[in-house]
Amino acid sequence: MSDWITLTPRLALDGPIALSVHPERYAELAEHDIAALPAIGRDREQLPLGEMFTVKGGRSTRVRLEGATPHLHSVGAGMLWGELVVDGDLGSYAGAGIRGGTMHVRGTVGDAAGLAMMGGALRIDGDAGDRLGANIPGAAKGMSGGEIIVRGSAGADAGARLRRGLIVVSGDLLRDGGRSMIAGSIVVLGRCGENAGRGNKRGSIVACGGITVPATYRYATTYQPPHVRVTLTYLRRQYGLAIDQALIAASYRRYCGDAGEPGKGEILERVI
Amino acid sequence: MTALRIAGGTVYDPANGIDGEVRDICIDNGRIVATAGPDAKVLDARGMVVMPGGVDIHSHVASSSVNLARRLLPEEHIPDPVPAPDLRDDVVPRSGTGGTVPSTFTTGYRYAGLGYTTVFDAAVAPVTARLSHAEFDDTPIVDGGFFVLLGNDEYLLRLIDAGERERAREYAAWVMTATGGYAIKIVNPGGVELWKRGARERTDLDTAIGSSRVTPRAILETLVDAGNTLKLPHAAHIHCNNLGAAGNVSTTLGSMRALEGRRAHFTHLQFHAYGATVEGGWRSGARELIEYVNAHPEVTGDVGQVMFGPAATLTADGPVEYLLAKSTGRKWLNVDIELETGCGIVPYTYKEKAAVSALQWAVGLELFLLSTDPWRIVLSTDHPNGGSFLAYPELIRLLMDRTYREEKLKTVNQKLLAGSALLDGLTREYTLSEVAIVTRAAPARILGLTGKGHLGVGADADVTVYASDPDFSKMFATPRYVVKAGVLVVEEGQLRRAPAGRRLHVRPEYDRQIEHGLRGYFDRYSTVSFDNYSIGPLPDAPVSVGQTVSGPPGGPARSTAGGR
Amino acid sequence: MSPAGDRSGAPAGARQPQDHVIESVTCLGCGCSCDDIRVQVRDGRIARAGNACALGEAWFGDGRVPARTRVVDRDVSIGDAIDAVAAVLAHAKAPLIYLAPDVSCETQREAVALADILHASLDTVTTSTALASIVAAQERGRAGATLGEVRNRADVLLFWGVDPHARYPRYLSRYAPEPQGVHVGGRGARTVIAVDIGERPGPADADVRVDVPADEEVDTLLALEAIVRNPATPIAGALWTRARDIAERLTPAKYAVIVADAEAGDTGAHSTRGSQLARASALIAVAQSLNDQTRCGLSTLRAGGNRAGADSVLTSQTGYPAAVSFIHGFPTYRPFDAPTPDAVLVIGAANLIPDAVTQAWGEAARLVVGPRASEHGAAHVAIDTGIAGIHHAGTALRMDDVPLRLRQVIDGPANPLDMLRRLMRVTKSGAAEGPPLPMRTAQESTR
Repeated sequence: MSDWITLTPRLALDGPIALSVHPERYAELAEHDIAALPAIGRDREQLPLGEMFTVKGGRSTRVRLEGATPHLHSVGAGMLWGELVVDGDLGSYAGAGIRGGTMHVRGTVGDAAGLAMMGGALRIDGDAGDRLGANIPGAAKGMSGGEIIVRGSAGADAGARLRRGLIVVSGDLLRDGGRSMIAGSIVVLGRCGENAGRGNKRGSIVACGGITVPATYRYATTYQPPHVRVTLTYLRRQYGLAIDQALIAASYRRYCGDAGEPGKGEILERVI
Repeated sequence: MTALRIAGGTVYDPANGIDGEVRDICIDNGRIVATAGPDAKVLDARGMVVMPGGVDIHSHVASSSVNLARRLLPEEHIPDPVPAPDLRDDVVPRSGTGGTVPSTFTTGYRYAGLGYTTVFDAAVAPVTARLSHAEFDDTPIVDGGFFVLLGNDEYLLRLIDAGERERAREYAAWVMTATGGYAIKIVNPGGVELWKRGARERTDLDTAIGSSRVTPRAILETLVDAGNTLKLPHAAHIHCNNLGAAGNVSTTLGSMRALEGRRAHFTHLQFHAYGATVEGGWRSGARELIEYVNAHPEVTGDVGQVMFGPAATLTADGPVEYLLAKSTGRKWLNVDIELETGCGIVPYTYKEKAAVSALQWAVGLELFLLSTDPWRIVLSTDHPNGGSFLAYPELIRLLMDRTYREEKLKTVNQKLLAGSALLDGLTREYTLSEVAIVTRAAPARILGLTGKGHLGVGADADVTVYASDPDFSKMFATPRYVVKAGVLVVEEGQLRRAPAGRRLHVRPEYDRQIEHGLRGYFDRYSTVSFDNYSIGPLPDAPVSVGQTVSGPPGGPARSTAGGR
Repeated sequence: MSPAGDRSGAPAGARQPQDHVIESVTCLGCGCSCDDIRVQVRDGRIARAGNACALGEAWFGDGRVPARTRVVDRDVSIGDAIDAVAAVLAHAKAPLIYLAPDVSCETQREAVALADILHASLDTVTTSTALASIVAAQERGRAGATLGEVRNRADVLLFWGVDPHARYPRYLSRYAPEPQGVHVGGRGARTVIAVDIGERPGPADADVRVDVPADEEVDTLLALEAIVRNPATPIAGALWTRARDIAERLTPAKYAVIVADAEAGDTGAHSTRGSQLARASALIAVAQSLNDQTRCGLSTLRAGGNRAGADSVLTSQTGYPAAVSFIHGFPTYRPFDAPTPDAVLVIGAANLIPDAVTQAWGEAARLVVGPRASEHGAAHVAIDTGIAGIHHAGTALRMDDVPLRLRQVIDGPANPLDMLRRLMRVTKSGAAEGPPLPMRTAQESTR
């Protein structure tokens, strides 16, 4: 279990490739068996992993993907357990539908990262695109568990219809974050964009770096919410995010909303 | 088309009194024949069970409402992608998606893969008939037809109000002909119209629908008589008032009594067999209901069994879905349709640990196990309302395997099961012959399909061959061979051919005078021109009308089985 | 068995008298799909489209369409053009089948089949115009009514930032509020509320007008929903007062209908995907919530050319209403991230595809099978066809998903359904496996 399996592109990746990486399937497989797995969707064909990647190692659930580029999409999608580390950038659907395990991208990701995620952890060191941790288009429920930690900024529509779980963005979050979220939490250390929390039912948006609260939310109180303190402390310890004591001890204005829903949702705006 | 000999199988053909005899079934030119020539392809069925192809009397597979449900559930399609099958005929194999409401081609493939060769869609709004035909065109292999919703139709209610029941009958005949439907369907008679008018209270048999002359009772009488007088092959197909409500068994029994002596089919009885506790909660009303049914040979029904797991409730009974959406908080679709009917859809999950789900599951099993005549109480899950048709094998196991059933019973919520006969330890186990009755022979007979549901000479060559397995759910889930109209569609458990199915429809004669009044009504109120309403000719000839024996279907010796 | 298209109308090419009138013709000029058009035919041309509005008259025209078939800028036989299309599609890495307006459901069904066996992407004009209302309805359902119910029941009609006069001209006279209904009288018996949203006014002759600033549209809907769900909701400020005023007009209705335009062209400049979804979702929520106190349906307006038909056909066969990819050998739903194609087969009226869509196709080879295909300058291969409902019979869906019969009124060029069937045969037979024809775009060849 301790050795890493490494995947390295054998040739320049010059077009979109759906790359299926499933650490949990490699636990009992030797190098050449892993290379033989159908894992690459390109040009209307399915190809074995070894066709485009050099596989080193086997019989492990720890996988390192080297030389990643934004041409690779769906990497880590549907992973059940194990560990996946990606050196480089990824395209869309990175870690979509993860059920467990940890995926760590040491670069940026495209749209729909962590889409409809169910459990585990997805760490992104760079920026994320639109629909981070959002719902499958048209699905009633979005992400239903797990944690997404983005050290950079994230695009629009993050956490749409979030059902359960945590999305953290260290940088700024673009517009329409937490649209129609049902429950769960979104924490934004930077600036939270327009229209955050539209149609929120019971979810929580924590805006540490500024937010324009929609007119349909109603101001409730200013306080030091204990659950924010617990969450921020956890994030600093678990993921090493740059969260200072002042932030942890800050006061927040609590707004209830959204109108139309039972009003159990909240936006917490840090008092600066 | 090559001749076939299914050789040496153990044949269950209850319509012809054959109960587990080893014999050959010969097929030529799409029909069962007495003997096949020496060139016939031989399927070795030794040690296997041979039955007629399955006949689903009540399902939702091809209608505008089904398609709205499909569109509503992308989260069900995504985890169930279906690549195109590896077909060996000249047909273009098609991919699709599954879930509780699969795409059209996948629906046809999956039904055939289960050994079913005939499927009826139970609820089609007349104005949307074109869509149903288009969907059946895309649902391969199975022969299909649909029932036409009339129980809340404005023009029909007007005729009843005017006391013109003969004209109402002629109107019903016109609608059948115009839409290419197969039978009259009644859903919550009058109750859907009341919902559209904003009423929220229960609809009982004598509730006035605008006028004291228009009541659920009058609607039931008018349409049941219409179906019987027109000698449609299938009786009026009735979904009673107050579906799902505690205490609704009184409504259901009231409806049966109102129609006493008349041929009528009562559908998904499980959803209509609840008693009420003193506090107004649910309890089983199955025994009360089935005792009436057992004693009244004019009544037929299907169970509408609930199976644990995901379902999509979709019905013309709009008010029911409103209440379900309110109680579950899940997504809710309602469409009121053109002065004809309604449509409501809510995804739902039946859970072993949920008291009401467990009760519904138990009530359905009680109906099956307490029924004394399998020719009159047949199998359905009201797909996808009580569960997918893919759950039929599991349901068959529950009926055939008492030990399995009792184990399962222990795992479900017991809170509402007090008074359920299931707790008394119903020992009955369905035999293979009885399973053949409730899944093919009886539905075919109730539908008036003389060429279906049996293996007599002249019958349609729709045959399913199962490899015996002590686990009946496995056995019935994966037939070894399925023959449809003489074509070997499933071979060694694999779908290999996907010919188009036939459209089962009726074109009863009607008094052309009816069109004058109708045209005026269309000009005043309809948004579709009268000239565009009829779907026109269909490629398949209609099923003949007027040959059914009026009165109840019965045991194995009846002539309606035909073809012998 | 012959498909549904063959049962729906006059036999193709049937010889009609020189001058004649065809009744009950369905117009696809907008999503109203009025089926009471009286078409006068003279000398094989449409002389008059009686009952049609200005949009309808323009849609029918005189029925003349070009009948060319070309590869690059060379006229060729239909067979050669089909072979060329098949070859390009077979060699493409990421082919796209695109359904433009003005084709029948029967043609749409065949197009899905082709995309399926090609493992291509499949998209329709809906994705770039009306997807928000569809996705929102997938997320939360909807409360709707067909236009016959609107006509016969709606006693209170709220037009949410739309005046149907311009783009759905006969909605008012044919569906509501003008007609006499079964359960409600004509215009005088109905209350019409116009909600004017920024530059998008409601009908001019409304009984009540409410002005909503464009940037408060979604806020107003959410506040309205809150008040409908809980009449005790505290009212403070202009937003809430305005929402209450609207609620007070809606809740006394016996059957309220909210009319909103689902086509993105009308949702204002601020419409990003998220806010379009938020708007569509909030409209649905208001209509759904009104059913606690009264009855209510949302009537979403859709443009013409059988767009709703494409949504329905795709859903039937794939489970998804638009933006389907078959690249993995089964349908996947990609409404927000269409793959970049290297070859596009357009089926239908290419001139009705939004510019943003064609621009996104970039350098992809364009193959067009549809009305006036040969006038589409960028087409590598163009096969002119007739227009569904003018030159070919079939089925179309109205904006409310009610299916309607399309009639053939005059003879025209090729039926796109036949073209697709031929293309399917060539594709299936593997005859398209040969090398693709060397081609340049029409522009390049004229440079």
